[in-house]
Amino acid sequence: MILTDVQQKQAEELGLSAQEMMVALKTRIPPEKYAAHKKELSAERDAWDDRVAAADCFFDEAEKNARGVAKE
Amino acid sequence: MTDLTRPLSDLARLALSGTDVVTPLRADAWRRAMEALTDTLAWPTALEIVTELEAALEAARAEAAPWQLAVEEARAALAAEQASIVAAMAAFWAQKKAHPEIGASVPSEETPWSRELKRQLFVCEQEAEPYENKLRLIQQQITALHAMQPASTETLTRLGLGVYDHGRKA
Repeated sequence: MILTDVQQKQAEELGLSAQEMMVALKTRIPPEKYAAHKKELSAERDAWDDRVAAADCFFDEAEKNARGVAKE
Repeated sequence: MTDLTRPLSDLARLALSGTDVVTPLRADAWRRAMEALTDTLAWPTALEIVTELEAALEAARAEAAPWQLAVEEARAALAAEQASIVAAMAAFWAQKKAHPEIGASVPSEETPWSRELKRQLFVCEQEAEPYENKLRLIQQQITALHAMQPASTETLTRLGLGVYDHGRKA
């Protein structure tokens, strides 16, 4: 299956790669819906990153506090 | 036995009939065609089938290319996502080991995006598989036909057919 020019253009407009567009069409998910789903997932991925970063900050803070206590 | 007096296109079609889906019936038809062609006299016919199969191989490659590329892209995207997760998790656990007293919650080892990438890869692999099977089968058939090349060039010379190398007249 090769994307038509129209499908290729639509994929670009929606921010989908050719591979994602092919998957969407093959699994009969409207490309717009798939693009919205991708945005949701990207937001969740960012939230995951934030959570990891927050955990890192949490540890850094704890380390600083621990050092502070040791100096005192 | 396959009737070798049939037109070449019939034999080629028979040879190619096994390339769509692997079924015992088609595999059997292919075996019978091969048996019929093992006669030295049939070698030029086999060569012509090889030529047709090679053209079919090229067409199959072009047909398979988009999904094979999609599989590669999906694999690369998933690998990158997993590497990112592993790096983040390693950093997290290193911190946690250094500060076991701190009860920071563990981030999930799978992101929604990695799950989606796995699904994408699964779909692409499923789609690419029949094309890859077809390519493999045509390749096997070409190899099988080449393997039928008579060992003795004398026989061919005697028959006025010249010497063949890898399926092509030298």
